[in-house]
Amino acid sequence: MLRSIFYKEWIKIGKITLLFLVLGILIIAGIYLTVRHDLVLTDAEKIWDGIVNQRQIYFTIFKFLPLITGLVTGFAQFVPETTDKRIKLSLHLPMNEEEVVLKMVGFGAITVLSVFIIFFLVFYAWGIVYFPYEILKLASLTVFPWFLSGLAAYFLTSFVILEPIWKYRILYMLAGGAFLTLFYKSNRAGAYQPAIVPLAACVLLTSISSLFSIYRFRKGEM
Amino acid sequence: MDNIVECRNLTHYYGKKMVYENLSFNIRRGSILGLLGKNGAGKTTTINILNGFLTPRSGECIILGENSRNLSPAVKAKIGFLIEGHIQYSFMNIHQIEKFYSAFYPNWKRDAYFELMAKLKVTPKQKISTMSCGQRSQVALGLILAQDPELLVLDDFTLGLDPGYRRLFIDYLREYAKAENKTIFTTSHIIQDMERLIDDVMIMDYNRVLAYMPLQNFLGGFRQFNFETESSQTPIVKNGLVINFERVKNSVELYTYGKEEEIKSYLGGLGISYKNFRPVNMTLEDAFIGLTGKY
Repeated sequence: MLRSIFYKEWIKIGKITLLFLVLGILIIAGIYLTVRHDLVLTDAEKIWDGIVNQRQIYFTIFKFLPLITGLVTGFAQFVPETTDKRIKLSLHLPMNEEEVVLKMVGFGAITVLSVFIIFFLVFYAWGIVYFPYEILKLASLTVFPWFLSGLAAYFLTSFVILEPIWKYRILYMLAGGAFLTLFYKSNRAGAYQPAIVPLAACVLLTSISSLFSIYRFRKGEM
Repeated sequence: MDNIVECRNLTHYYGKKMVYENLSFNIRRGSILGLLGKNGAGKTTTINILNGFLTPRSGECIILGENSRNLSPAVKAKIGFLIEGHIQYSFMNIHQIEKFYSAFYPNWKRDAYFELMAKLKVTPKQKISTMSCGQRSQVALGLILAQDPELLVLDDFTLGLDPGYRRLFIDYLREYAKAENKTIFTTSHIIQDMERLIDDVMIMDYNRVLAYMPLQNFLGGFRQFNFETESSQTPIVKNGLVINFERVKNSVELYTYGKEEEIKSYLGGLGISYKNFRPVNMTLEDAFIGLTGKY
């Protein structure tokens, strides 16, 4: 049954996942080609000074990619489920209703997380060519909250789309949007280092928010 | 004969709007019960309560021994569910959707599904979303036949079907249900052809049940009489004898469970002069309109 649910979810989000994977790798390639160009052809000292002393971020273009990946994956996965109240089909499967939804959300989260891990590995591995460990550590601490925001965006999107009533959807969108801005308050590299654990805990809490939407649906809110 | 579904004293409101109060009905094992009503009469509400998608304000439905609010996976596996408009996972094609569902049901009948699919003129990779409403209805029906459930719950399955597909759907379903001793609960606001399918009928109007009985009893007992009258007034009132009546100019249509003599006697008692008094044969659709009114 688990394989079957994963099969259905992959039909919905497989293409979009691969598209974002390619897009992300192209963006990372673009980042390091720019770095190479700047180091070789322009003032390398100035670039080093910016990164080391002024904590400038040389990969700003990557900033919102995880967020958009989470949002779009959530849309691609749950809009087809709620169009024409199709979620009834999933809830009617011979399984516990909460279990069905958690497995659907779980698959989406694993997919998004896998994409982020690949992004990170490519980003880190390519960075080794140009930068020492200390700079890559700082870069990792900078991108980590962005990946967290992507996961949070995915969970909140599923929560909002599964909510049966538009009035509440809008309320959740406003609250979710405000929460997501927390991940983008600073433009200094590594600024989020002390907040990563609390933010990760908040993201973990959003992971089960879809259960509330399903509870409301089953109660008859349509 | 045992009941596969027992609903007792269902009461539900949407806000302050009452859908119905103290609705009770049973579905006998092996029978086909049709819940007929106009749009907004509470048909889908009843289906949602049966499937556990709606908690009624009071009352309960027991399905295969379990309360519909908390159906176990084992009981859900015995219930085939068709959503209004033959909604299915339209982002899949006919092979993908069969592969998906087959893992959930131990008695999955793959051949029954593909036998029906063979009648559709669709390509193997064609997504369900690109099929016609009639083709989608056959996919939904095929999936239910393959699931081989004990109880089929069909929400307004006639919606959007042209006469050919409607007839095909009904004939296939009836033959299957009777051959396999399946129980069906179906709703519809399109009455045409339903008398080919159902054994028992429940007709709902806003807030109330107008009729609930075996179909043959309803068709045999509910009568229409037409007559012309020159009287300017028609002091007929809806009561135990006169269920409904409509007057257009001098022509009166009167609906009743009473006999011809009783109606004539009633009209005579009111002093209504009439001529050309005649019984009219009714189809189920005529009887439905007679009972619920034209508007």
